Amino acid sequence: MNNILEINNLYKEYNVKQGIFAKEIYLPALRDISLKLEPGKTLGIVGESGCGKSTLAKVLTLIEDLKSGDIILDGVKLVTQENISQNFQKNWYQKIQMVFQDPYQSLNPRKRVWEIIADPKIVSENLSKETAKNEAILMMEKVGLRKELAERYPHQFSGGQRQRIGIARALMLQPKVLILDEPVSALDVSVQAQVLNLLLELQREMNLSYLFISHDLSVVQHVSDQILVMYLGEVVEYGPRDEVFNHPKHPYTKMLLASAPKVRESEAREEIEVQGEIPSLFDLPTGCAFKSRCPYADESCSSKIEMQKLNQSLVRCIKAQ
Amino acid sequence: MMEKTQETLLEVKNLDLYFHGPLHNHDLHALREISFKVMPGEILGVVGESGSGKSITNLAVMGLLPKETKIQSEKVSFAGTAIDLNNEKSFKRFRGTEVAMIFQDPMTALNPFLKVGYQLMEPLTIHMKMSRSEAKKRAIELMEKVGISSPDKRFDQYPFELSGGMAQRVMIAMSLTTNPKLLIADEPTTALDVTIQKQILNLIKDLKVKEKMSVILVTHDLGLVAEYADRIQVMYAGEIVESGKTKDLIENPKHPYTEALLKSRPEGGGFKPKENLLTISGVVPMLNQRPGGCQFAPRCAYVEEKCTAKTPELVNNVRCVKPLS
Repeated sequence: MNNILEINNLYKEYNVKQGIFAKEIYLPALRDISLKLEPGKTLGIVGESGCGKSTLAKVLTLIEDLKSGDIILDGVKLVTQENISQNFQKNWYQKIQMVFQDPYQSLNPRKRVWEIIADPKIVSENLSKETAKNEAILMMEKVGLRKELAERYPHQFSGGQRQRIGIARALMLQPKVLILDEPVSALDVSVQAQVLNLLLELQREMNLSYLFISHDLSVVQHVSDQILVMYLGEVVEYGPRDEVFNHPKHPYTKMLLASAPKVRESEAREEIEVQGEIPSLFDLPTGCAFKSRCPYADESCSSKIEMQKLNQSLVRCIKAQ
Repeated sequence: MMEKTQETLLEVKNLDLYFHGPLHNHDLHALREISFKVMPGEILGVVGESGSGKSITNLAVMGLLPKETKIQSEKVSFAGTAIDLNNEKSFKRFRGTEVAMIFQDPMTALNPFLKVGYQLMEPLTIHMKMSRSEAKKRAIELMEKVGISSPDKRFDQYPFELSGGMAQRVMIAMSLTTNPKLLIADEPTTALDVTIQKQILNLIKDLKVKEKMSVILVTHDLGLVAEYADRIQVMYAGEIVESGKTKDLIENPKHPYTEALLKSRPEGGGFKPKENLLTISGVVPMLNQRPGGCQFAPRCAYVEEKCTAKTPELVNNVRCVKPLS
């Protein structure tokens, strides 16, 4: 099957030089990221803060440039952002859009709801306000917002409704891929399910592909087909949902799964000691990035670790089996 | 199982709280008939969505409410001593010494201008009347106790040099300075990563066992209380709708809201991957738009006429006219 999105050996660095005489320092935010996304499928991305989840989203949405590697989005290849034309950008944004975590900060408080939703259409397709408004209203109904609400402002909506507005805005250009960056973590538990159901329905109906970034493992498990586990800017495990959740291979994946709170005892998973904190990207350990927290680490972990295939998963660990 | 009758540590009976301000022409009834007990050495989990009143209940007990509130209660007592919630003086004896509190965001709860060590010593010199050198020794001991690595070095660091997990450990160390009998933890791990969350909660559980400390654990995460609390109390729109032993409440929820909370989570409802989840329609009512009768009635799947007629009473720890069996 043709992949709608493919990332090959992507590297991204931030230059964090402070002051004019300071030495150049590079922060290796993403290292050797490769992934594939099929049409109509969801790739769940999990990992702790600082693991590079959001940087990946920024590179994909052309907010940040990449250092090396390439991204192929629906047949269009991006190698670097230098010299890309406005047309290329427009074309790119018609294929990939993003929904943000905080529905309170990601909507312009001074615009009416229909203006927020219609904006991408007006900017990229030069539609008249009238036509764009009609399309926005159709989209509102699609995401479960009554059309009478079109003239209201964001502050008149609840968190769940605002997230629906964010989703409607992202869908206006009929993208093929949606990046969902923690789409339900700012919402109350009773509202989360409503938004998740909407996302699942839209996916079935429009054959959308999702990159679903979240720290909530049970939510990721529910919505994803494939799982990508990241740690300190690297992919440590990548595989089908059931394989990753039922037979985790990397010690970090095991630790993440063991940390997730369990409602019932029957959900208990393999016990692994949960210890330590994520190290700074400025002094990365040599070899395996996880070895400072790993209960199985020894000297052999200091050499460079490549991804290896185990069953249906790719794992970056020499001890995994 | 028969237990020796223990003295209740904290008892709150029929507490009502109202907000009034220049914008409202009538008082807003924020908390209604709140009654609960905390026993020595137990973790009481308080679950609820935003606006359910879980935080304000604790602030009321700590005497930290804003001025625009009016509070009535039949009885509030701590370790056998009655507390007058409207009298600032009655808090002084136990607030910060016998009851300590930690908050959601450890980075904003610490003073960014003062060294961690100084902030840790403050309660020791004020409440415990220790000398500076004694206080420093004790502060370092406490940092060790809560699992802070190289405490001597951390003592002289500023809060920005700490990670979120370390900062929360410092907050816990600070709350332990006076050997409190009760720790109120208000969403202590919401700002932290899951692996750090687990470590912090294990620490709190350890302290409960070793120091015989009681804990009120306030959270929106049912999974957390299910794993760590001995008893759970579910709040909705300013009322306690259900309470009970953790296992009973998780396995046999009696209130439709508790059931819906459990079932709307992917792991709780037994859903197949990518299947639609069970939803609770609507949202939590705003404080000035609370319905008459049962607060949950407009969103309840089992609603009947009698539900909206009058406010249900708390019977057998469930506030519902027809509890689930």
